[in-house]
Amino acid sequence: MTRTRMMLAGSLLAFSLPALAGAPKLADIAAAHYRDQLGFPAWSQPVLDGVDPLLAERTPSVVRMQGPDGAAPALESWFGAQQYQRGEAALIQARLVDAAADDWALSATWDSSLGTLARTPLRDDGQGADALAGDGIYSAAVTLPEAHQPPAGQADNVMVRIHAENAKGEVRKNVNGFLYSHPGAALTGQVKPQVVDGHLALLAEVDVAERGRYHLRGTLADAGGLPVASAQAAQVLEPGRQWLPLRYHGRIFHSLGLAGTLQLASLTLTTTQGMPNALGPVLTAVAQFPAPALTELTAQPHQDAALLETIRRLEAPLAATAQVPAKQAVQAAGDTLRATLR
Amino acid sequence: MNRRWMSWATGLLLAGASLAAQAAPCLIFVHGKQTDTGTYTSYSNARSYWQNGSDDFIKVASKNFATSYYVVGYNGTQPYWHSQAAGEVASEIIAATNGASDAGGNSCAQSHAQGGSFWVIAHSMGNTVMDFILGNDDASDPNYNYNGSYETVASRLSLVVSLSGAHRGSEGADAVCGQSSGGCNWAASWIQDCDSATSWLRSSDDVQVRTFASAPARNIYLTGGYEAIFGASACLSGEDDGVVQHASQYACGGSATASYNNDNVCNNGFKQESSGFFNLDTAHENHGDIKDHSDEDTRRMIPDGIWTCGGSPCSPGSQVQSSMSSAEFVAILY
Repeated sequence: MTRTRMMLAGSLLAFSLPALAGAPKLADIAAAHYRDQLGFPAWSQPVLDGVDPLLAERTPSVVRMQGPDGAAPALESWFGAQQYQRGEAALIQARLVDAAADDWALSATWDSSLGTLARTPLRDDGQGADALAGDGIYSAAVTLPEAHQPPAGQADNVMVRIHAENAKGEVRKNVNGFLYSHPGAALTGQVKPQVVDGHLALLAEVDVAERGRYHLRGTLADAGGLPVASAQAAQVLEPGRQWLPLRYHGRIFHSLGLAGTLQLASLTLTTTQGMPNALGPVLTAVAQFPAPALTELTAQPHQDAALLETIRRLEAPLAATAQVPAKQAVQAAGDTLRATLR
Repeated sequence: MNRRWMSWATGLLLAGASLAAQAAPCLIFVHGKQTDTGTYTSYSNARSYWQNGSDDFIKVASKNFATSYYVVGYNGTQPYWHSQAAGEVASEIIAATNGASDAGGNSCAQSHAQGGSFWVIAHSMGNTVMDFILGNDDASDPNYNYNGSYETVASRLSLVVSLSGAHRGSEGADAVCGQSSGGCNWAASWIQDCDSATSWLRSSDDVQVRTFASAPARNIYLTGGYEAIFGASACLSGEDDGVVQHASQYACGGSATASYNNDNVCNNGFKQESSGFFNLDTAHENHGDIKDHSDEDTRRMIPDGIWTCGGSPCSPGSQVQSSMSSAEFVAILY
């Protein structure tokens, strides 16, 4: 049935071009996509693929660089975290992909905006920062000194250039980086659940050293640890202990039928006083608490007047006579979500 | 946001309800990385960015200027988040949607107040700028209205069409900043030096736009190129347009240096954000060609792409057009 309807729609929308294939009008496609996005606000979204979006984004990426003219082996590098703070050991690891048994010597230069922070060898001898000798993974760590620390509430980009050379004189290079972060506040790990205006609000305690704007982000999981909802909030906070609310939209609980025990699976606080932002660490398995009764939570969709107007204009014919009734559009979006979740 | 259950099929079905001729959007053009401030200070430079001799992307995309348009010029030597980059682009988009003219006298046929709709057509770093703006339009976002009224921009735009977007940076920037350009010829591109903008287009997490923005408030539709540039492409992972690799052009999640080709590039469920990015297709154009209509060439389907073959989605990697530039492609999308 679905395939038949899809083929019908496709044939109606295909272009009559001297072409091998057709493409529908993008305005129609975008309007349909936006209808699917209606119902939840930017500050709280359901997670439907089982992947914690916060952890996915904060997992350090591998940077791979090829040799001259694309020659193998490529040199890969990665850090232990995307941000480090004063006194912490920033760990970088590297490997030559599918390299022969040549003896490679690796070294790194660590530069902040204030100048060179360190020059280090990367070792594969099981000593120091290296976990296992001879596994092809070379490691180095630098304890971040106070002399290069950015002002409170700010961060600095530290660029690390790696130079690898073997006995034949072959050279490979790589460049990676992390944030030397000096957040103006830190999470204490204390969280209090409340229901506010039909939404679940998790009040996270923040120890604020510097007045500033702070961004809180966290992922909610069910009793089995499956991520079900994400939320974000931002607020200017004064020095001292403060409670910053992270709201999860009530309709998510109705849509996913959430009950029993919930857990705040991941949580992070970022100081957003300027670019680059001063990222904080990601706390995991922060708290467990019972899900609120559905009767306490709103089942109503979030109303986004601007997005509804965008849809209306995307769908407006030349005569500009069509109007999209807001309630009808939101109801349709709710029906789509429910059908998807079944 | 999470929209991984969505597909083009959903769009096709719902789109079937709206078959009437639609009002043309105003096209707002946002250029890419520059090695000098010319496009910021000179309308002529910003306009010629989209031209190559008599070939003219804007002329073709606007259907011989039948569709109204506005040309943005910003400082392409600054980081994407800078006041002269994101701040300037936001300011100019608001001006365009207010009905103001660009420095060349071009203006949108209808202002936002008059009911107009607006599409941004962005190339290369112009997309990194748009990711930052549209991902920071809500008060709950990390860098809300950082250096302009991003909220106003988002509320007025309908969508973005991304041409060879540097959403995840460029391995070319890694090579230049890592002093590893041996054998890679970047002479024809914008990444000849590791200036501030180039450094912020590296692949490392500490400079990636996704680290500093949320999912975009308005959707970004992705097309890109797969025609190699001799010398440079050898230093890029998988398919690329000679400057930007597929992992970045298609805003993929995971590593920015992952290797993809046309038939396995990330689908709509594995993007740098959990919603707001959608694949269109890929063209046999290089990083320069794709923005100036100088190469009417083959186009191919990619996973979750827009093309239909006999009413069903075409197979990823299959040829869907034999001679169509990206400017012509934009023109058939509205």
